[in-house]
Amino acid sequence: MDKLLTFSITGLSLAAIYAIGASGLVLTYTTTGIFNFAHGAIGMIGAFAYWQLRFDWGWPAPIALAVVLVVMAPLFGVFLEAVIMRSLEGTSDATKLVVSISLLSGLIGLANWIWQPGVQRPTSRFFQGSKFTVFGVFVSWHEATALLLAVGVALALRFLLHRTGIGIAMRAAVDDRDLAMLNGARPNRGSMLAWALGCSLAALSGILFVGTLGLEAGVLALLIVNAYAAAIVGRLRSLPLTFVGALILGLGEAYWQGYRADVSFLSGSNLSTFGSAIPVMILFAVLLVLPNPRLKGRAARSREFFAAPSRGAALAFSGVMVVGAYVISGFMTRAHQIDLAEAFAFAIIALSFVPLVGMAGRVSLCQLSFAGIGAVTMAHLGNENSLRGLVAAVVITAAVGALVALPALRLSGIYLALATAAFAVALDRWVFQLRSFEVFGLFPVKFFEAGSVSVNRVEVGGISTASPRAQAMLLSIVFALLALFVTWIRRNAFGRRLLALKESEAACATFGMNLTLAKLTVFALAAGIAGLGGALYGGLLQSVNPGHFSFVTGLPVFMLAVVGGIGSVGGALNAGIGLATLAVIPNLIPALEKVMPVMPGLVGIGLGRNPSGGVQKMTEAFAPVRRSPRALLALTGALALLTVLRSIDVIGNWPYVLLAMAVAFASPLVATTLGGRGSDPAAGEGAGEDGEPIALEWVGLLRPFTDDDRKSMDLSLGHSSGVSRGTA
Amino acid sequence: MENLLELRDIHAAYDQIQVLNGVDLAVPAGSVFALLGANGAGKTTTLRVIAGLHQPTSGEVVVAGRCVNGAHPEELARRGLCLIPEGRGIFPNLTVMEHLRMAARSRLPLAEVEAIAFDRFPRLAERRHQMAGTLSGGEQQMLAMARGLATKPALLLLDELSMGLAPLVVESLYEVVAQIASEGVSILVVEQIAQTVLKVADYAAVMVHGKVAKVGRPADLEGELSAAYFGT
Ligand SMILES: Nc1ncnc2c1ncn2[C@@H]1O[C@H](COP(=O)(O)OP(=O)(O)OP(=O)(O)O)[C@@H](O)[C@H]1O
Ligand SMILES: [Mg+2]
Repeated sequence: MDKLLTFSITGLSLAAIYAIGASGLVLTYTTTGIFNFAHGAIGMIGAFAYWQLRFDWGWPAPIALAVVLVVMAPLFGVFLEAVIMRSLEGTSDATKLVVSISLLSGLIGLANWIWQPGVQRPTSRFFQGSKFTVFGVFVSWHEATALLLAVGVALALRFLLHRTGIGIAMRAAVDDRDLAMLNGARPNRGSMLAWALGCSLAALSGILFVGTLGLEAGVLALLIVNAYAAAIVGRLRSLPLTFVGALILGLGEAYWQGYRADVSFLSGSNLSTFGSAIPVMILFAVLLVLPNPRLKGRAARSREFFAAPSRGAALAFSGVMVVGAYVISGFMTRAHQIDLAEAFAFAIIALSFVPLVGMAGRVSLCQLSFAGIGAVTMAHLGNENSLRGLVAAVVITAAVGALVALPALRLSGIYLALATAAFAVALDRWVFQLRSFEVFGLFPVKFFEAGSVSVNRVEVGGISTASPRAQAMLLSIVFALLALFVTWIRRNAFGRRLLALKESEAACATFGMNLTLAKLTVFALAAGIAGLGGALYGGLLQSVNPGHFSFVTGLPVFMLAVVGGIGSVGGALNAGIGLATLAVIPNLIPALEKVMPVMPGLVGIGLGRNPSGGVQKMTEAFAPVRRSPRALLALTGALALLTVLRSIDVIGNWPYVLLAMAVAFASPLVATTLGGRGSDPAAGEGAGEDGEPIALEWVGLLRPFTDDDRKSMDLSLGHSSGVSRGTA
Repeated sequence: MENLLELRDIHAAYDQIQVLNGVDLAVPAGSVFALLGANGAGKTTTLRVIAGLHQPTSGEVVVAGRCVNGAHPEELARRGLCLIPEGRGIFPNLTVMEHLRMAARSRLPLAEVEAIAFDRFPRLAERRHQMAGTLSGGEQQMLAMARGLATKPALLLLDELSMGLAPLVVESLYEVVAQIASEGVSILVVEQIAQTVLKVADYAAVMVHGKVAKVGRPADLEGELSAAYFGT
């Protein structure tokens, strides 16, 4: 009985902390429509700031609390709203998601920069952990405070949202922002208040956590992911249900810790890390059981737009890339050859986002986890025959991908992102930590053996890829082939089906499309690509551990792919190169080492301005070059000349890179002055830029309308008088 | 007579698509002005420009003699300009009372707002704690009107009051419009179906392809309407 009471009290106080964190999340989501993935990270920063004031500088607790909760956190919220979130108005869910995920990743980087990780930071609980007794059970004042605060927060939020003018106006702005303005409300003030309060609540929950756990940025930022489960129980809208969710979580976790040892079949060592995965499991489960958030009839029209590359362009892209990798790797040191290979490995993993996110509009945050499964498979099955290992990696990850997708099929938007995040975190915290075990005594399952495993490099038909340069070439060729494959998908019926799925599920359903099959296929396909990338990446590293494939490590891959343009293979390449560059820069400029983890976050946050991605912009800038044969020839010639100069050691590596970049940037200017075919965009009637006929719906986008187009359109619409009407 | 609202050569576009091509309009103070036109003529866009929700690319919006281009919609609302938008101008997840509290935020005390709204629409008083999303279509339109009137606007902009409502409900809503007009409020009404609104309007204009094609007394316009709608 005492035991039950003790663990109930622990559970209740945990629930209180979850409830405080989750209610802040719900508040910002309902009032601004942005699901803040960085909510936990903000709480984490708050906790660190509190530690700094309270324990490092020795301020009295009340003052430190007041400074963090009443001054710093709200100011940070106001800053976030004014500088980042406000500009997200009217962007798609995916863009909002990316920005808040970038913020999460950036804040973790920031915390690790300011507060060096791995250092012991002494903390204590409120009131120095002093206790009182209730029914013969000790209760710490810290726990009691958490409980009281949660109740206080619940009452205060209820009052704010239903009894005060600004609260009602905030709820009104959620329903219809324009209409709220027509009512004389100032929605920006409401959003600002919501962000200020949200950050304060996040910080409060973070500070309360610190009393129970240590200070570690990644752990704390994701710990509050647990609170997300509570928010989802409230379907991100209802505060009372959110509190119920928090209760389930808190008590569930406490009872698991308390009673696991008593139940024989739960006490196995494979379940010892299961406890920390419980909240994310609940998150996953709740997402699946909750009533469907409806098929969205009219998806908010997003600003993102991706055109299909032509077959010729894709071939040229792949060819240039492989040849480029061959030429450049020849000039590189072994270490840089490995960096180059790593860039392509990440590019392959990032390529898995293109069909899934770019085409089907389904955000998955667990692609790097799939890569981890691929690497593990390669480690255990690719020892004798590396090809067999690769095939197994693709098949097994594709199967796991389909398995994960199966329950998650009806989810989309942030719900799917959350479910995949939950899956990734569950792998991090539990599955990847497991030792090998037997499934029903049939076959063994092995992961990282609670440490690291070694992975073989590929050997095909007696050709070994053991040298760094061979690795770079192997990975670049695989990437090039996969890029062609993905481009081919984009251009065939399956790709069009995926695009239709992204635009409107409801419309697809009315066309009688088999949504389930399309979604399952694209998930399996994406997982398979990631698995292949992971297997090759593992081979490149030769020894891998769970840290290489964790949820947090995966965030920059996603963000950089989005920044490059997640609808194109160029975006994936951008992610690979970006990540490798981030890894290389500290070697060149050691002072920047700590700043690097913050970079992807900053880059991602900047995305709001240009949602179609940077590659799209670059492609547009290079359009004149592609249209003018003379300019293309000049560009190739100049690059070839530089390469020759480099190979006979007339110039060094750095001048080579800089000059090549200068030539590339100058080429659009040269092309426009040279003129040529590029000056007449309508050249080649009924055809796109490369002479291929283009579909009717792209006319006007890829090239201007002509009278002939109007005629043929009128014909197909059956307007026989169409042409004469204009002159009548 | 003085004009409460004047539009001078308004041009407006959504992205690249030009929607308004030089709209000129003058609404005399205290009159009911009907703006008619076919689907897509640009009526809603015109109202959005007036209310500050959409920035015109050129031209002037003049309210009570002052140019209000670039003013924020909430500022205009607080100064007595009220737009009741197309569809139902309500917040589905707010109760009737909360709508009135929204109205009370900018200009009048809550008690006065309540008095105005429930006087005009007693049906709403019975449903004061109901979520607006669960009200019937007619009740929702009443609530939208009530909320608008309770701010005691000087200029009321109504966009397709009749959309999806039974003729009887439309008639009664227009009776309210006539009543408010008689109290000195200037009203600009946008409608597709001309019959009902032309009974209460003092002036009317027909819009075609983002321009005002014809202005006049309702009686003069009857003949023009079919031309505007059928493009003959
Ligand atoms: N947000 C928008 N983005 C792009 N185009 C728009 C947008 N809103 C309106 N339009 C276009 O502007 C034109 C005028 O629209 P508007 O809503 O003003 O017409 P309307 O006269 O009110 O029509 P209706 O009687 O059907 O309500 C239409 O062709 C419409 O397609
Ligand atoms: Mg309209």
